[in-house]
Amino acid sequence: MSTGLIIIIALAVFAILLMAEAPVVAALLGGSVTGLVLNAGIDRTAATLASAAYQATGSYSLVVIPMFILMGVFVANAGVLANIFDFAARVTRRLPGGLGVATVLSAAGFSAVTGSSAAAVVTLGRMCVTEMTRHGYRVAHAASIVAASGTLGVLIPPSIVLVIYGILVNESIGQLLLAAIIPGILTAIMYIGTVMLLSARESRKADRELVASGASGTTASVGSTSEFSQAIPAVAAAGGVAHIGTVGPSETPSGRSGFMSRREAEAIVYITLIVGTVLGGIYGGYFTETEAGAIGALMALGVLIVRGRRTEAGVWKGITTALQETAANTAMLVGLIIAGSVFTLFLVTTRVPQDLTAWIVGLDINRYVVLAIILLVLLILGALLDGMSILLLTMPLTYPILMSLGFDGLWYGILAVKMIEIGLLTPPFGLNVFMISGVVKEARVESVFRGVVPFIVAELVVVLLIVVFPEIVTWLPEQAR
Amino acid sequence: MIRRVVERVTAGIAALGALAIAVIMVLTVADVIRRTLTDRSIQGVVEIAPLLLLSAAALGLGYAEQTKVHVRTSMVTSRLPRPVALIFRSFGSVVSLVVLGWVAWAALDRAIGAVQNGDVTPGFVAIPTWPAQVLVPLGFGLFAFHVGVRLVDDLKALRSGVEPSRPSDNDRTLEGSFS
Repeated sequence: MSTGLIIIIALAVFAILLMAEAPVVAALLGGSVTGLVLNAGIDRTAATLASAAYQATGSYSLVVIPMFILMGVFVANAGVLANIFDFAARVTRRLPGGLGVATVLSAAGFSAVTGSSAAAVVTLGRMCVTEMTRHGYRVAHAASIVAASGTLGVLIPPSIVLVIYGILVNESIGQLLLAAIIPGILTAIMYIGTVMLLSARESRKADRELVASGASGTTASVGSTSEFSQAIPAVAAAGGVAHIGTVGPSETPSGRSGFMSRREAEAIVYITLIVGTVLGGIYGGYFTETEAGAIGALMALGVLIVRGRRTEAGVWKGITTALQETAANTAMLVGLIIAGSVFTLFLVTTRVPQDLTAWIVGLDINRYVVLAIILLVLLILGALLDGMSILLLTMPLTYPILMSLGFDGLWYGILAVKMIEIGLLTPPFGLNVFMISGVVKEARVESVFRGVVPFIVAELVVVLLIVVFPEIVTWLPEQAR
Repeated sequence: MIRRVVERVTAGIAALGALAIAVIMVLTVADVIRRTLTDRSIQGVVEIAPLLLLSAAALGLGYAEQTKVHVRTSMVTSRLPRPVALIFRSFGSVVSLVVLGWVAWAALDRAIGAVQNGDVTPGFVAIPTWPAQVLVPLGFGLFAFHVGVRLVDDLKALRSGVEPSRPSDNDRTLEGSFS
């Protein structure tokens, strides 16, 4: 049987199992095992499976995965995110779409201590959407801001997806994390710009609707915060009077309106300390990324102990649930890495990565055309598969090709992660959209998918900027070398 | 009754995995502190940490399936007529069961070899690897067991016409995922 046919059969088995709702780990193992049996025989397949788990997890750098997960879950359970959102909302209240901007900023802050976009969406979801809709945002618009903001968790360090990329292709994880900082900030800035533009547009639309409604006796004074002006139609329709002022959304019922409360200041100091220690330690060469992750996790545990008493669950439950969650997520990720290693071994036995690389390098086409095709494939896969599966499936094939064409491994890693970010927002799979629709029942999936389109455009602009100016990615790691 | 016992045992085993993760954290930080203060590392941390990670992952595999953390998608099955979806899902579970069972069996073979040969880590400090290796077949076995539980649920639902209780497809098209 030809290797081409074997690969097609293996991928078909993987796809059928995936469609049959089998766990991705089992689907990937199923496809790989089928291919290995056809290509190398049963004995060699059994030998590969026997040593897969031990071989795949032998690297010390993998230990960073549970440390980063633990850090994020400890911080999430400490309940500091609400304080950060409150503060961000007050700082940005005079901007168009102030609460939306605050959501992006909160997601960026939360992403700096957790490597998961799903965690960001779930944690921010209910709180931010409730706050935004309370101030007149349409539910779908508010939910789409949270869904898009959540993708920052995939890119802004500590990113678990980047760690997996580094392990798969043998790139320095520390350098990758540093490489993601500027693109992460750039993406957050683009999202903020998108929120402000959208809110200004929504504000004008709301004003027009208000004028058109011509409700007698209805008065409205539109302030500079567009989210309040968006509340007008609902109020006007009810025949009420809307006074749109500049009162901050986080103003408490007691009327406190100070710039920053003690708890908010504490929350910001905690997050800054953790992020500063982790990234500063890696940048300064004081610790390895694994050590930085462990120190960050211990600091986050300290925050949970200090702050957890004020949360509903309390300290002890916060710690135990964090550990349980970390154990389950670590098992899931390491399971995927083991399955991915079997898939890579299968591909290596077919010699397809080497042959494909040699063939593409031999073609007389511009290397950016090859890059564009690969990014397009990642984009399409992003609409069908989850990010981790995409990395496991495509990196053994695409990384050698792009390296042979002279591209930078760190740069490609960031571009691949950007494609995965976009995949979190695109139908039919857009995980973040489904997540937010699950958390906020009023947010219909189709409406949120429509709502995230401007953010996808913003993402594509960032991708284009990174392609044109690779220094956005490579400058910071070069400073740390 | 049996299922409840197995679920508790699975959660207990995962708690040991969580403990292993906590130990990694403490050991790694202790190593950094000692290195900073005395310029000397704690011997064996770099060797034992991956073994603890493998142990934690193996111990958590069954729990991850029990708590639906493993990534899977209902993108296709949620659009199929219910009986067809259940049959298709059962097919996926049977194949998964076979594959995971094979991994567990093969890993058991390797674990027995590791115990018999007294395998140790190749680094500066020779640490026995068999305790971690023995946990791999246990983990994949538990994973397979919980896939089997899901299969039984689906087959029962196919016979009785009552949908097994699990998160609504509208809530989550994609279970799990850390992206």
